[in-house]
Amino acid sequence: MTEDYDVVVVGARPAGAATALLLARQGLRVLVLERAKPGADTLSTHALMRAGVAQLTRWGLLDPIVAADTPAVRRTRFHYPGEQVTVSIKPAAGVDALYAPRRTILDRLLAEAAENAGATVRYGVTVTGLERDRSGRITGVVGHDQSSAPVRVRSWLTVGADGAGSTVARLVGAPNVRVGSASSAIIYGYWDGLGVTDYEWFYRPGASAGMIPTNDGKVCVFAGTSAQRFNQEMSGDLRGSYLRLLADATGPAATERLPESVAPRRLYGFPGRFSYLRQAHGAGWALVGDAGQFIDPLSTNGITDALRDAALLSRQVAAILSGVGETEALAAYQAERDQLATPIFDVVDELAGYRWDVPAVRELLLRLNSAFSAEVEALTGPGGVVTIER
Amino acid sequence: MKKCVAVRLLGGFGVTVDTVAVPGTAWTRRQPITLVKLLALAPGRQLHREQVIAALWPNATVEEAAPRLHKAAHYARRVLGPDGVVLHRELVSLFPNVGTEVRIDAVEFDDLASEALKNEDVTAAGRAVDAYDGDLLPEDRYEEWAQGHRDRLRRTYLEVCRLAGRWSDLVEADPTDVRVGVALMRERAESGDHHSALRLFERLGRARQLELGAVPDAEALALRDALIGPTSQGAASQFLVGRRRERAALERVVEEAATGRGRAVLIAGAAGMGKSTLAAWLRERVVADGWRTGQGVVSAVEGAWPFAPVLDALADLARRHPTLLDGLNDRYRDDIDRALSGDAGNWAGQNASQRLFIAVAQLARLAAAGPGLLLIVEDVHDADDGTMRLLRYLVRSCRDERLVLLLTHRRQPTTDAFERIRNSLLGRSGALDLALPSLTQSETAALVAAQAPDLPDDVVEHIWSISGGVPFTVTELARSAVDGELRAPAEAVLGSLAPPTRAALERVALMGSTFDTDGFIAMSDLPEEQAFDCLDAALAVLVVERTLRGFRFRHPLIREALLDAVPPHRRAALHRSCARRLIEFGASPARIGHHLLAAGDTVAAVPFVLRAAQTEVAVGAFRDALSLVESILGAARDEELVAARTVRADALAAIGDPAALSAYREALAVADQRQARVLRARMGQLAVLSGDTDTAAAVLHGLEPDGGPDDSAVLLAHGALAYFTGDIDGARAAVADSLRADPAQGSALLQSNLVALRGLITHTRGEWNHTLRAELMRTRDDPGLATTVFDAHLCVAEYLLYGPTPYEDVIDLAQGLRRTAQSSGVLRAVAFARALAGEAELLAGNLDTAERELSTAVDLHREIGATAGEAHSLQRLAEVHLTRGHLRTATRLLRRALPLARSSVLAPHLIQRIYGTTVAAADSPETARAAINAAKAAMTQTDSCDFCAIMFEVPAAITCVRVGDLDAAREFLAAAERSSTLWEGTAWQAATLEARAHLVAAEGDAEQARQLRHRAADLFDDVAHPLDAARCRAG
Repeated sequence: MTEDYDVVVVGARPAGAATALLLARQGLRVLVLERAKPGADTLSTHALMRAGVAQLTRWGLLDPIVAADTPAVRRTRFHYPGEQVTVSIKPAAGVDALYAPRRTILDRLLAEAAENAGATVRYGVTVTGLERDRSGRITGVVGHDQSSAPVRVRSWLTVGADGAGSTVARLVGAPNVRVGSASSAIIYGYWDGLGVTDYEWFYRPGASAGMIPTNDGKVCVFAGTSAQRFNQEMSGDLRGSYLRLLADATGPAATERLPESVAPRRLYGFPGRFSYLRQAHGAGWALVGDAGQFIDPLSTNGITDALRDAALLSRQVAAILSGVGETEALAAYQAERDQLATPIFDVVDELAGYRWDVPAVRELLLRLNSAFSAEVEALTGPGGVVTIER
Repeated sequence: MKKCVAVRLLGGFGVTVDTVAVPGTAWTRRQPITLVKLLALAPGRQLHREQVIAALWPNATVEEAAPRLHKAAHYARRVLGPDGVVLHRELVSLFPNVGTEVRIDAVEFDDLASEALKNEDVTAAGRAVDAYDGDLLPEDRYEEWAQGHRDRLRRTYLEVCRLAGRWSDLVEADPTDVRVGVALMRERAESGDHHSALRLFERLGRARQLELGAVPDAEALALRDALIGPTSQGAASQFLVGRRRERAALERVVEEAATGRGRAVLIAGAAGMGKSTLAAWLRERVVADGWRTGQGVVSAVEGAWPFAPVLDALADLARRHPTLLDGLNDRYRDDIDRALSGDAGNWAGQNASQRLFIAVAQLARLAAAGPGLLLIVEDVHDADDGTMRLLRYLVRSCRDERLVLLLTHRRQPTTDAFERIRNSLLGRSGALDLALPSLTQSETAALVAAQAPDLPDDVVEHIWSISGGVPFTVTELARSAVDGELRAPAEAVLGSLAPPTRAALERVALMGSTFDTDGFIAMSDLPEEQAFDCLDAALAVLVVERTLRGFRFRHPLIREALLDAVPPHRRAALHRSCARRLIEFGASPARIGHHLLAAGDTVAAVPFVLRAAQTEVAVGAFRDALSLVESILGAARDEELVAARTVRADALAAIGDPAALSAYREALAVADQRQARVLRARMGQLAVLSGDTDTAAAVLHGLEPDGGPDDSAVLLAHGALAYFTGDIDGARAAVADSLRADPAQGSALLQSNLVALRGLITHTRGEWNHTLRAELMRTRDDPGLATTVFDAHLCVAEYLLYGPTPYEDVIDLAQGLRRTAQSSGVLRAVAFARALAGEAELLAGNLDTAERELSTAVDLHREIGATAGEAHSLQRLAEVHLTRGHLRTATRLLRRALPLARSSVLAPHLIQRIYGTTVAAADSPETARAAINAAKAAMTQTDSCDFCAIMFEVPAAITCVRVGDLDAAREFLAAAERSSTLWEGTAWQAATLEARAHLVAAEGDAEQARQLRHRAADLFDDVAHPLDAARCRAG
């Protein structure tokens, strides 16, 4: 049986769920199909930057995150050899603190918000194909649920929000419009009792690390290096590699703090992937989040980028509904995404190469901050004045 | 009949005796008034005399202060009558006679409020609110004894406001309460009272405007926009006609800057020539490309304090892009916030402007890290010295950034500071100079058409003929022509105003080019409703226009026309009234002081000007502080006189003015024993650095540690004296004792003195270069530290340069220092390292590199106001040109160096070197001889350093040989040989041998001369001076 929706969104992670939420709030009939179970955990650095928190605030979703005892982060600390720089998060763009919620909380919250707005969210559904009309326009998706029962959905717009290995992107043949020149590998785990309350970033030649306080008193601690070095030096003993890399990146002062806390029982590794920007739209389809754009995790901006895409796409869908041509509007979506993503892409690509020394990395971080600031302004308006939409 | 006395303390001081107000002029001194105020606030109007002394003369002993107390009481009685202030045994009382009824408004308010709060009585709370006429003694804002009382009464007032539901009063008193403010604003807006609603918006903004990046509350902004629409300047392009050449030039600058070649642009033009319009056009133009922008104006408020226009531009930038600050180190942000608030606390000896400069440049870099940054500062011809130095620093430090710094200015009249920096910007910094000419006839017609499209041709022609093509005049004439009558520009605008409105605007214009509703109402001296009518009228005829924070005069010329209309005899009264209002608003002391001085009320200005000067010293605006403090020296008394003279001496010392020593003497003449300790320590330290060890010894004689807070300074001064009189062990012991006395070395002045002294000691022990690096690392978080250190090291560095250390090593050391200093933001150390590298390159014969390094060193030293370093670098740069044979250039540079060296604490070392090079750069033996004579006449006893003397004596000896005055040559040579023995193993032995070779040759012994030259060459080789060695071998 074929179901009819205005929009089908493939993927219920932040990009997909947020897109569904915003489109449903515009009165569209939206169906979200997600392969995983509700609230499943996933690989993530958790950190929401200001643009991400501003989006959640604007959509009225920050309160539940705060209510889930997600620690408020009010300072960022940058550690360089022999020097530490502290930056306080002052109120701006409707944000007076940053948050790094566990994905089990954030993803569930966004999906529930989408449902509350009128979207239908189905878990355990795998999309395997797309439907097209005679002109080649995408007209819906096909797949199956956990019981292998077929699923067929017809829609005006199909949104691929199914991550870096996006089925939708592959099936529409979305080409990469840009691919990065370097990639970084990271290993991370959750520490207890580390007493970290700020975002802490560490940079030393050849290595970097981050400490991100998240829910339940845990701190996500990652250590990173170039994918090349990772492959050459770090294979095999993941824990040993992790601790060695952490020591390289943080120096003696920070590593002294670690033994006093409880080391993670499990570690997660990410061997690296080149950043890319994909063609993000076509007749009847669009891509959001990692499906359309992946930037090295060193940016710690992945979730924020996903929420940004949702906001930008929903703006253009609203434009289409008010009479702007579909092709023109979707092209505008991609143009705006690229305009905001490119400066971040450029900087992070250099960061991920680990060919910098300390003065160079400080310069790169200056540019990264400038790009983040431009992203916040593009999403919240100049002067960073945010009003809540409910 | 019972005597009735009423003392007013709320909103300002006043006394009424039996319904007759005591005139302000009856009080000729401040201490008697202070005594009365203090007693009025005391329980039962009575205090123990030691309590009074502790409050009024905290630094004096009871014995010292007792006569002052008696004197103050005596003068108070002369005004209030014999029972006014009574000293009986140990007690001091105000009107103690039971037959006198005394009412004190602050006490009455306190009683009413306490009763209301205790009983939670809303009606009584309302009465208490009505009884509060303003904060306690606003004129005594900086008096510690009043602070606690004021804060407590104010808190009580806010509580009774809340209890009484008097929200409007609450917001007026505490505009930081955004929630209440916005609710009230909404209430006013809904009731149709838009004026009050907008006024509340301004108040909410005013409370936060001194915080970098603070933006209006979103709800408040939305409400405001709903009432009057978003503030928009209107498209500048709409009113810009002509200027094709200028626009093309600006486009080129923007294109270049976008590739990372930052540049300054100076737009010059007479008043009304359209500078602001062109600036606004450029702003629109770059915003369209995604650039960030910020804008400040020099004359925004009268009596603003140093750096304000640049800080305003940055504050504007941060308001537009608040999230940029997510990348700004808290330390930098705090520095800028403190500077924005105009309250930098007291001077601790550090050159705080260096910190501010670095913070400002860092924020600019952050903003320029996107597509580009345009910073506009208007009317810089009126800017203070600090602002101009900061602007030049910004241009230099952002040369490789995507930055355009646009400065507009008039050509006449201008200040010296402005001309100096303008020339520097146009010279080495390569700024673009755009002078705006008058509009052509066709351009004038186009501008008329933009304003008034339907004017007949003959009127347009007439406007052209009388406007002179000045855009402002053209615009105003066109506007008036629409009304059927051509009037002079100012009259065209102001002529249509009703007399009360015009009179109100004349008063308001006195405050500055910007103001808000509260300021307008206060200055207009009109009832509120009438003031609002005037404001509406002024808005309607475009005399003023709205900004986000209030209003501004549409054009500086309009404000100037209003000010010109005020006759001189009315000005003083207006300034006084303006000052009074500003005191009520809690405005910055600099602004209040400015108006009190302009009113001729110097006595009243003293506390404000003093505070402003202290703040300026604290942020490193020493010259501005000097001119301020000198304006009140004649009027300051007692403690304030001590403070004023101290500020003056500190500021003079900081800029290296030789008058600093006598300024300290003047401060000591009025200081009590405790105040004198730190003054003597500072003076002794300064005297040592000036080479005047006799004065230092005299001033430090008998000054010993006493367990007090100044011990560390005292010990260090003794240590410096010991070092410079050859007692190295004594110096080391003093350093150790000083560290024991104050392990943290709390003030930056102490830290810098300590580092300097340790540097000198370790150099003497042969460990200087290692220590220098170690000290830099240790002190990297305190940029202010470096100034004294490196000034002192200028001489120490000569050991390194003329000693056996290879130049490569010196250059390596300098580059390492520069990198470390740069990343730590220690500008003075960066400048020092540049100069050191330049010197080493010069002596190694790498003239191009030397020129580059030394030119940069000259600029850097000038920007941070380090005159010694600037003079030193100029002298070395002159040597580069001398070596190349560019005698004129060298002489020109030396002429620049000489006055700087004279005003520097290192004069004894620098003067001789400058004269030495001047002699060597003379283009004929006769000129050289004349230069020697001039040098001898100019060099006084204090201009000599035994070590550095050789830098003059060697060239002087050689020149005397050349002109045939062999006796004089022998004299100079003997002196040079004496000097060279002081520093064994340096190039100076070689230099004296070379000079002796000249003399011996002139005496006829060619062979001995040849041998001497070869020995000199070998010695020059030993210390790696290749150019000198080659010269000697060439004969």
